[in-house]
Amino acid sequence: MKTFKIVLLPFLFIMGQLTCHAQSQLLGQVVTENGKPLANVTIIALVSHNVTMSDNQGNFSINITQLPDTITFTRLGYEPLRRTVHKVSDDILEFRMVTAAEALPEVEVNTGYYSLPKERATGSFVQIDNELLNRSVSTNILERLEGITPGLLFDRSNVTGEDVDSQPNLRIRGLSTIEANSAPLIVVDNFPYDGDIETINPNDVQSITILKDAAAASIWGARAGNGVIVINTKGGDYNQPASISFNSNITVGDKPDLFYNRQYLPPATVMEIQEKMFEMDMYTEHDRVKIPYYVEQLIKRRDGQINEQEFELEKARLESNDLRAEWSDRLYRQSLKQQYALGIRGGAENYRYAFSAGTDRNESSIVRNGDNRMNLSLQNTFRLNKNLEVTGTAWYTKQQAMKNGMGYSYTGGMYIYEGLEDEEGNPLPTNTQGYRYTYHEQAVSNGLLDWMVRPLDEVRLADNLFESWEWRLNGGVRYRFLDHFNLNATYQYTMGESEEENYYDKDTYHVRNLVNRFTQPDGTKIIPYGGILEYVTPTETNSHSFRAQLNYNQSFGQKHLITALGGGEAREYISVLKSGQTLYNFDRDIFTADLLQDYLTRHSVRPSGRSSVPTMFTTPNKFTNRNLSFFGNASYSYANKYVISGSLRWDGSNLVGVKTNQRGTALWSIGGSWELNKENFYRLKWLPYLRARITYGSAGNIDKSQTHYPVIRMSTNRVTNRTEAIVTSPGNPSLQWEQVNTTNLAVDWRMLDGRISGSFEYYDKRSNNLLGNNSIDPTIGISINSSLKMNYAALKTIGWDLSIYGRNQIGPLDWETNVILSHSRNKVTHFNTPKIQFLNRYFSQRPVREQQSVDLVYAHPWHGLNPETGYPLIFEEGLATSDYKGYYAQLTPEDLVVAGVRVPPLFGSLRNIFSYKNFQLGILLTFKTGHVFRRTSISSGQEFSTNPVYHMDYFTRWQRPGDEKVIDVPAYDDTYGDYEREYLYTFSETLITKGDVVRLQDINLSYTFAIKHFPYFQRARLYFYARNMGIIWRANDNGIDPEYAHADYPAPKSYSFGIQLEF
Amino acid sequence: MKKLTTTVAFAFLLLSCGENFLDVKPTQNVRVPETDDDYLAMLDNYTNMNQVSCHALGIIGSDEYYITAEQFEAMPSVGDNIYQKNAYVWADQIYVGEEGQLIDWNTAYYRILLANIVLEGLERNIKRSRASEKNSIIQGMALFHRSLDYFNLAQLYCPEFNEETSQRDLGLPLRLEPDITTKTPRSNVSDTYRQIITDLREAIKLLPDHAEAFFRPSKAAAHAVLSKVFLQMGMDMDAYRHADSAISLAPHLMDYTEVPMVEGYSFPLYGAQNKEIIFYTNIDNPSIISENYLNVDTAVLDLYEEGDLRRELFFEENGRGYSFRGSYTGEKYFFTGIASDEVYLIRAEASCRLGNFPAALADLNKLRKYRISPDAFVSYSSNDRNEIMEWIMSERRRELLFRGTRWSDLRRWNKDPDLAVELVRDLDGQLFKLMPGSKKYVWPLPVHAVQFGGYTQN
Repeated sequence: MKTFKIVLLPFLFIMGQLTCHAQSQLLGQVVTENGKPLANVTIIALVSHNVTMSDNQGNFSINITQLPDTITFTRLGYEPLRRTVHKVSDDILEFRMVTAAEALPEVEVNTGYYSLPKERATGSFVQIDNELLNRSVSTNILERLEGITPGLLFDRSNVTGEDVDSQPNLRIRGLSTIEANSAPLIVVDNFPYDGDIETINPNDVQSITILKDAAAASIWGARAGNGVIVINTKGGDYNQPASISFNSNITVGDKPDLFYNRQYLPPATVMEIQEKMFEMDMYTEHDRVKIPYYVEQLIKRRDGQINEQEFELEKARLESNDLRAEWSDRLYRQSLKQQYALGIRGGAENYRYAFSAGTDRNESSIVRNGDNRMNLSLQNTFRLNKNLEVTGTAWYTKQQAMKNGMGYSYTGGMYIYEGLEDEEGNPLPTNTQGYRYTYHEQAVSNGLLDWMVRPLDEVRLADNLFESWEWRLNGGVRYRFLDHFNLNATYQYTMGESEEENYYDKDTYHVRNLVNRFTQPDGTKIIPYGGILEYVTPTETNSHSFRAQLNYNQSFGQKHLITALGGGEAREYISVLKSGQTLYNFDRDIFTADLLQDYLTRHSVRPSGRSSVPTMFTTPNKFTNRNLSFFGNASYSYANKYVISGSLRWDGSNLVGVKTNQRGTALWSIGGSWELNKENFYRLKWLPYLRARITYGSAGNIDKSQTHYPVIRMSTNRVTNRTEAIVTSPGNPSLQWEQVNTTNLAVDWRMLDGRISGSFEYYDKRSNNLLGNNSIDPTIGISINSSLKMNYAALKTIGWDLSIYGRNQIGPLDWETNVILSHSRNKVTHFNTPKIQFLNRYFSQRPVREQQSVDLVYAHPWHGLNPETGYPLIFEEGLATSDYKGYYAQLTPEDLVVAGVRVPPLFGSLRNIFSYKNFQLGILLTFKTGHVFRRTSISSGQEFSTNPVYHMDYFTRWQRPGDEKVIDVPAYDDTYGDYEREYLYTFSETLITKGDVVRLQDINLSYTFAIKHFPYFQRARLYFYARNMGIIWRANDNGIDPEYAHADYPAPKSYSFGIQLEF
Repeated sequence: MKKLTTTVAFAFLLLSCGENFLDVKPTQNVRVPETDDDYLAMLDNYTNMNQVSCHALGIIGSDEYYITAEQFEAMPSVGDNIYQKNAYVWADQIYVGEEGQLIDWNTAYYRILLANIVLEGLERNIKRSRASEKNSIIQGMALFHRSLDYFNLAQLYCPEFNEETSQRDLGLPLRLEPDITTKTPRSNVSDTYRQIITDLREAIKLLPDHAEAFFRPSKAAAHAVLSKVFLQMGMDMDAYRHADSAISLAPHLMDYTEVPMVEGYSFPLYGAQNKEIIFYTNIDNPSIISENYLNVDTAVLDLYEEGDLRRELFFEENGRGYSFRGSYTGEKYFFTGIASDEVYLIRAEASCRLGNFPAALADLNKLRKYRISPDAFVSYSSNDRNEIMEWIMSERRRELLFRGTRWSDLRRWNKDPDLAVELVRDLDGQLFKLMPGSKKYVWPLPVHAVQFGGYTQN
C-alpha cells in the first residue's frame, strides 16, 4: 500500500496510487462564525483519550477508538465547543466556533516555517494584520510599516538629491553590524525574496510578521542577523462562496518644492559675483574653458560686440529669470499614481482558490518620468484526500519605468539667471559642457553639427525605457499521517528578466555630441549622424527553492503539548548578465542599423585626446548562489502556563575560497515564557493577564566577498588580448563570520477587560567578529580601496520597545489608540586596529572607536568668529591666530568634539483611530529624537571657485566687526582655497543641528456603507488618505526637515482617494 | 511506523547531497587559483603589472620639468594634489592627510603580493606533481616582478646603496610570503639589494630568452634590470656583464630617421612595433606631471643639438612652454619600462667607469646614430674620462627623458662630488633647493604604512 510516487510539475502535483485507510479517523474542519478556517484549536476526544490540533486550514483528524465519543474544541478567544459523535464516516465534518464574548482577536504569528498563536510564542514578533496594512496607500509594501512597527526605524540619512522616494535604510532594533549589509531579510510566502520589493502588489498581502530577536529570527539562520520581515500573501478558504474584491485609488502628489534647498543665490547676486570675478580676471578665455553666460555678455561688451544698451537689456532679462521657477513650471508636475486591484477568492469542499490582478500607473513629479506595474496571481489548492492537500500558485509581475525627464539636479552647471525658453517659446540652448559657448557656437561654421544643449528639447526627445518581468511558480504538498505528523514539501521556481533600452534620436545632444567629437581633422565622421540605440546589459534570473519539513504536534493528557518541526531546504539563485549592445545609425521606422562598427581603434577626438567608439558591449557573467539549510524547532508547553522553546539551524552556501568547514554556520536559540496570572499565588485582580518571556540565541551575517584563499576573476585584456586574472580577494586565513547573540526579555499584559494591553521588550545584542576594512597596512599588498575585510570589532546594542494599545467606547464613538516607543543605543566594545589619525575620516566616514557609538557625529570645536577678520576664531598658545594651515596640521582626533549621534536613539509613534457609525478617522503622528545632523552653509570663497557653489547663508555672513556677536557665518573671500579655514567652519559644532522632529505622518478617513443599502456588496468603503502632512514640531529653526537634511527637497505631500468593494 | 521511516529517509536523501551541492562556483568567471595557467593569468594582468609602475615620486621630484608659480597656485590643494605639490618643492613632510595612498608603495606591494601568491602556488603544484612545463617560466616571471618592484621601491624609499653603511641603513620590509596576517619589519639596505640580486639571478635561469610579448618578463629583461641594479650599486663589472648579455639578446634600436612626423603622439600606441622595448611598463601620471601642468625643463630642451630628431619627435609647444609627446606608450602616460636604448647607455657608463673608453664611445655613438639626422651626425671621440662621462650623462638626459630613470641617476651621480648637481625650483622668486646627498632623496613612507604597519618613518 505504500507505493509513493510524486511527479513534480511546475505548479501542479499529480498524485498516483495513493491509498490510506483509517477506519476510525474522524476528519473535520474547524471554522469561525464567518466560515473562516480556525487553526490551533485543541481538539480532545474525551472517551478515546486522543488530542490533536487543527492546522492552518482548520483541518484536523483524530483517532476515535470508541463510539459514541465526546469531542471538545478549545481555543483562546472562542467559546469552548462540545460535540458528541455517534459514527465516523469519510465525510469531513465542519465545526463552527463562536468568538468568546470578551475575547481579544487571536493573533497568529507566521515565521515562514510555522505559525503559532502569539500567546505561545516566546520570541519577539510583531504582527501587522491586513487591516493595519490597508490603513495607508502606497505602491511599496514596506512603506506601510512606517510608524506602526515597534523597533523598526526608517533611517533616511541615505536620502540625497532628488531621490526622496528611495528606499530608506531599515534598521530593526539598531545595528548588528558595522560594515556588512544591515538590511533585514525579506521573506515572501515562506521563501527569502531576492527580487525587487517594488514588484510586490500590496493588495495581495494578507499580513506581515517582523521577527526581531534570536528566538524568532534564528529559524532563518545566517541571513537573519538584522531581523526578518515575513510577508504572507492572500489565499482562499474551503467552503467559502466566491468573494470578489475590488480596490482602486488615485494619489495626487504636490510638486516638489525647488525653493526648499538653501544652496542657491538669487540671479542678481550671482551675476554680481561673476562680474567681480571677471574684473579680477579670473576667467581664462580659452575654447576649452567654460565661461558663464553672463560673463560672455561682459566680454562682448568689453570687445564692443554689443553696445551698452544691448548689454543692459540682456542684463535686466537675466536678472528677472529664476531658473528654479521655470524648471518647476516646465519640467515638473503634480505626481499622479493610480492603483487598481481585483481579487477573487473562494472555495468548495475540496478546493480553494485565490485570483488577483493589479495594476499601478505612476506618473512621477518629473515630467516624462513614470512607471507602471502589473501583477497577476492564481492560487489553487486541492484536497485530494482527507490527509493530502496540494497547492499550486503562479505569480506574474511586469514593470516598466520611463526615465526621460530632467530634474533640477541635472541642470549640469546652468546658472540661476539662465532660462529654458525664449519669449517666443523656443527652447533655449545652454552650455553644460566644459567648453566655451563660442567653441560650441562655431561648430556649424566649422562643418560640425549644432553642438548646443537645449534641456526642453532633450526632455522631449528622450526615450529611455526600463522593463522587467518575473514569474514565480510555487507548488506544495501537505500530507498528514500517524495522527500527529504532517509533512510539508514546497518547491518554488522563479524566473525573470530585466532590460534597459535607450534610444537617442539624431537630434539629441547625445548623438550630435558623439558625431562632433569623433569628426576627424579632415572632416570625416567616424560616427554616422543617425539615431543610436543602446541595449544596456540585460539580466536574466531564475531560482529554484525546495523545502521539506516534518511537523509534529501532540498533546499528552490535558496539560502537556509538544510541537516540533524539522527539515531541510535547498535554494539556488542564478543571474546571468548578458552583453549590452550599441547600434549606430539606427532607423526606428524600418529597424535598420550599421551592424559593423570598429570599437577598438582609438580615433582622435575633439577638442583633444584619443578615444575609441563607445559601446555597451560588456563581457557576460553568471552568478550562482546556492544555499543549503537544515533546521529544527521544538516547543513544550505545560498547562498553557509555561512554554519552553528551542531552535537549531545549519546554513551553508557555495562560498568560493572558503575553507570547507566554514561554508556553513550553526545557529541556535532557546526561550521560555511564563503566564504568571495562571499561578495560584497570583492576586493582582486589576491585571488579569501577565506574561513574562525570555530568549537567548545567535544569528549570523556571512560576507560573501571575503575568503580564506586567494580568489581571482578571469577576463580578457583589451590591450594585450590575453586572459588576465584580477585578484578579487587575496585570502585571509584567519577569517571568521560575524555573529550576533541576542537576549530578549519581555512582559505582556492586559488590563481593564482587555481595554488596555501592551508589551515591553528589552534586548541586548552582542555582535562579534565584525568585519571591516579600515586601517589595513598597504605593505601587505592591499590598498585602501580594496574590499578586504578583517575581523576587527565587536558591537553591543541595547534597547527596548514599548507598545501600548488602548480601546475605549464613549457612547457611539469607538476610540483606539496605540503608542509605540523604541529606544536603541550601540557601542563598540572592542576594536583591534590602530586608532585612525586622519581627521577627514571623522567627517566623511563612520569612524569606529572603542567604547563609542558607531553613529557618532564629530565636529570641530567652535569659538566664534574672529572680530577682526570675520573668519573662524582659533588660538595658538592662547592667542588668536590666522595660521589655519598650521593650526589644522597639529589637530588630532582628540581635539574633535562628539556632537551627537546621527540616528535617533528614541523614536516612536502615536496612532489614534476614531470610529463613529460608518466613519473612521485615523491619525498617525511619528517622532524621532536625540539625534543630530550637519547642516550646510557657505565656505568662504566658494562662490569664486571654478565650480562655484552658492548658499543663502551668504547674506547672513560676517560683514563688519561686531557681527561676530550675533553671527556664526564667516566673512566671504574672493579666492577659494584656504581649505583648512573652511573645514574649521563647515565641520564645526555650530553647524550641528538637532534632528528632533514630530511629524504628522498621515491621516486616513473612510466611510463604510451600510450593507442594507447595497445588497450585492459585502462591503463597500470609500477612503481618503493623506501622507507626508508635514512637521508639527522640530528642534531646529533653520527651516530644515531633519528627515531630508541632505535632499534637494522633502518628500512632497500626497493625497489619495479610493474605493474598496467586496461582492 | 514504516511510513514515518520512509518519509524521514526520503527527506534526508534529498538533503544529503549537501556538500556537492555547495561546490558550485558563485560567479562563473571567479575561481581559486590552482593551475599554473591561473598563476600565469595573474601575472598577465596588464593593468596592475604593467600600467602603474613604481616611479611617480621619482619623476615628480626630478628636474626634467617645471610648473609655473601661477600653475602651482591654481592647482587646488586638495586630495592627491597636496602630496604632489609638496613633493614638487621637496617639502619636509609631503603628506598632510591620507592622500597619495595609491601610488608607488601601494602599487608595488600589490604586485609583490601577487608574485608571492604565485610563487607559493607554483611550489605547491610541484609538490603535488601538478606542475606544467610552464611552471618554472612563471616562477621566473614572478621573481622578476618582485625584484623589479623592490628595486624601484628602494630608489624612492631607501638611502642610496653604500657598502659601508648598508647594514645600518633602513631597507624595505621584504615580504616573501603571501599570508596577509604576517608582519614583516623593515630590513636593511644590504639585505634589500641582496634579495633583489638573488631573485633576478634566479629569474635569469628560469626565463626564456624572449617572451611572447614585451608585456611579459624575459631573460633579456632580467639581465637588463640586473645591469641597472649593479650600475646603481656601483658594481660596474657586473653591470657591464649583464648589460652585455641583455644586448646580445635584444640588440635592436629604432631608427628615428624612419619615424614619421605626425600630429599628436610620435610613437604608436602601447609600444606597437617598437623593437627597442624589452619590457613594457608605464605610470599613470599624477596631475602635476600630466599634460595639464607639466612643462619640459628648458635646460633639457637646450641639450638637443642641431639635427637631433628627438627635439621634434618629443616636444610640442603648448602655449605656456613645451609638453612631451615622445613616450613609447604612444599616449599621455610615461613609458617606464626597459628598452635597449637604456641598456646601451648602461653598458657605456659601466665601460667608461671601467676605463674601456672605446667601448663606451661605440655604444654612445651607435645610439646617437639612430637619433640624429645623417647630415648632422658627428661621431664622438675622446680619451678624456670626464668628457666621455659628461657625454653619457647628457645623452641619458636626452634619451631617457620621462622614463623614471632621472631620480636614480641623480642619486648615483651625486655620490661623486664632480658630477653632483643641485636642483632648484623657482616659484616666482621663491626658491626651493635639493642639495646632493640631501635626506630628501629618500621619500617618506606613506602614512598608512607607518600608522597601520608600524614601520619606522624615513
